[in-house]
Amino acid sequence: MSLRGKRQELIEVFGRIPLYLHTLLLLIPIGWMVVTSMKSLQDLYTNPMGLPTQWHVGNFIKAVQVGRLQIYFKNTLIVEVLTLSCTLLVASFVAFVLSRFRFRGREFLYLFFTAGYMISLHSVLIPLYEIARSLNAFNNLAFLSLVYSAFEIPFSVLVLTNFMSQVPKEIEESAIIDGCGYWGVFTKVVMPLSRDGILAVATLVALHAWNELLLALVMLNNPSSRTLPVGLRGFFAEHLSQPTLLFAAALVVSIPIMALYALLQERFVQGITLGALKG
Amino acid sequence: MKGAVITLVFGFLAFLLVGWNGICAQEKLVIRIMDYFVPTDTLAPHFEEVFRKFEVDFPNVRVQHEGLESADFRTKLAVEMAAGNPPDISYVVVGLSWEYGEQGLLMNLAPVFEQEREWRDTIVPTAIKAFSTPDGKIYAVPFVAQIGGLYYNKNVYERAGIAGPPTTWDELLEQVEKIKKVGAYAFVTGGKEWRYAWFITQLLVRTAGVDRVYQLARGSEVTGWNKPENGFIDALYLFKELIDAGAFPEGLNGIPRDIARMMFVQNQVAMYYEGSWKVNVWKNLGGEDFLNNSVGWSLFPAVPKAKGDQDGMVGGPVHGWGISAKLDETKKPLVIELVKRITSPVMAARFLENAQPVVVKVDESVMARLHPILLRQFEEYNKAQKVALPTDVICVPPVDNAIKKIAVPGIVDGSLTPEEAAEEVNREAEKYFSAKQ
Repeated sequence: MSLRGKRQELIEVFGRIPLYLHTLLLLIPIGWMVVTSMKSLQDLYTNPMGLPTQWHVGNFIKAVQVGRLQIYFKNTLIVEVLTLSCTLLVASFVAFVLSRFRFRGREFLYLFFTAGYMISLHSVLIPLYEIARSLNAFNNLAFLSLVYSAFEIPFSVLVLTNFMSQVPKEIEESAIIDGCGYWGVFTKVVMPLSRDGILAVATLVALHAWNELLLALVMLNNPSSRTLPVGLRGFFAEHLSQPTLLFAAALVVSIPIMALYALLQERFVQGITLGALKG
Repeated sequence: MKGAVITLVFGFLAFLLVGWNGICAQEKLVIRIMDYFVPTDTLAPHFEEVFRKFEVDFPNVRVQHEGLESADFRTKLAVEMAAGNPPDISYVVVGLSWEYGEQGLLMNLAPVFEQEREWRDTIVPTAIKAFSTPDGKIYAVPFVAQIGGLYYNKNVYERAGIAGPPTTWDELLEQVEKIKKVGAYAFVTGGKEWRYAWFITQLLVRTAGVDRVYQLARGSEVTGWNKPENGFIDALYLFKELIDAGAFPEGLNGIPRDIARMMFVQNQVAMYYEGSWKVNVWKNLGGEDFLNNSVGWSLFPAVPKAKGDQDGMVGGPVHGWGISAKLDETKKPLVIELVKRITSPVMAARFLENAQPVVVKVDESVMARLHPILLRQFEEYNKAQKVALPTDVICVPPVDNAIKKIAVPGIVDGSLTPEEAAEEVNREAEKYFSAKQ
């Protein structure tokens, strides 16, 4: 190898060092979480950064049992699926109409759908509670999902309208000449071409629904209806928290998400990047 | 085809929304109880035992226990009360019970106690008195009491060459210097969760006296927090003196309570001012040996230059079970029966064993099993001439929040002078009480 080639290789190797360090930095909290999840409470409090004096693998079982994680996980998944379906269904229809058709009142409709983005959850919490009460909708995961969707639709319409308006008019016209109706244009042309945008929106909606605490706390009274964010806070007792069990629980519930991310990593990144550019 | 798909999708959503509750409708009567005994709390299994037994005795009833993290509990309770839909049973502090009782959300239990003499006699009379309003209404069944005091770490004291806990303010300041020299902190608390109320109340007892604390919280001086003669400014000055002396760690407002506890257990902190529940915390976090050999407890030092009660304590009956005023006649007796069971002497014994002093009379044999620190607390409490309830228990919520979330954090980070901090509290008090009129 020439001197120039060797130099180039060295630069590349050294160039990667900051990346390795950065990766290590990101892995430290995860590693600490793994170690902590297998400590006893006293071990954590007397030696927070060190290795456990005794490895308590049973913390995972205890966390699942005491924390009722399987129930919370199932509930969160139901909310996630319903919120995603409802948001994407409504937002994509609305975005399709707003981006592909020119009609009177279009601007107003666009503002109407996106204005909801400015409403803060806290300002409507009590009215929402009253609505849930009058509909007898406490503990109803479908109702919670609809409320989540109502908060997610404005943002989703905003992003998807931008995405769909990028699809060239000519493709749509060709599809119509080939015999497609508007439904066909929507399902066979615009939706597939907006796939990355939909994925970006889906990622963000899913994240919000997964992490939401306040509404879930207020709307779900029955402990068996709780979602993960509310359920995990059950490890914080007033007089004695259980951080080791909390870490164990957090690890258990993050495994499926990490697996999903690993599977769809490329698409997630692509979607978010495109979303950033186009949005 | 597309029409069918859309109909199906919307039909499915409509089914989920409307049909769910109908299909899963409980034929049983649900009694909802909300508190902060989360599933991992050491007391949670005892509650579950009572509830399951109740369901066996009353097969048409299902008890829905909602144990939430304390901040979440307060948020949810506030929302439900604001919406006029209180839980059937809720765990409330004295001040809140009066607040919600006056709003017609909690039941006045005075007539119930008149009828249920046997039940009433299981509760310490002074606790019933403490929960009563001036016009004799009782909006919660008194249950848990707390006794504030100074926990000190004997290991740090030994390192710093200190013989024992301080008895005067000047002695305390001297100890702060000695403790700092050995690389430890004199005090810590969970600033992130604004756990300042007990400490500030104790200082207020020293500067203003127990009677004045009540006058400021509920009496004739409710809008007098900014008046120098009421002692609140002096209490904030004392706190500032400790901050300026470096008694607390830097960034106190951001320290979570769990980290604060950890610092005490790890011998990084010499003193911790809070209630009786800490006995159990030290045992669980540091182990039995740590509690028995390394933790001491004493009264807060006197401040001779101040004009309040120098031997006054902070504590008393703080928590009770409020019953919704919106219950129908079918549910009411069942709910009262359930509250009787969760305030029974057996349940009270479980609380005591977990370092939660109760105001229900329990068997002497239970008392004999308690940790010496708890017994010492009871002894001092019984001896004390004057005891004030902490501001987070007795003040109206906006004033309580202003004290612990604005005034004291402002003193900690230096953004407020004691006068300005007192003014902030008074502003909230004026806003609240003028709106009430």
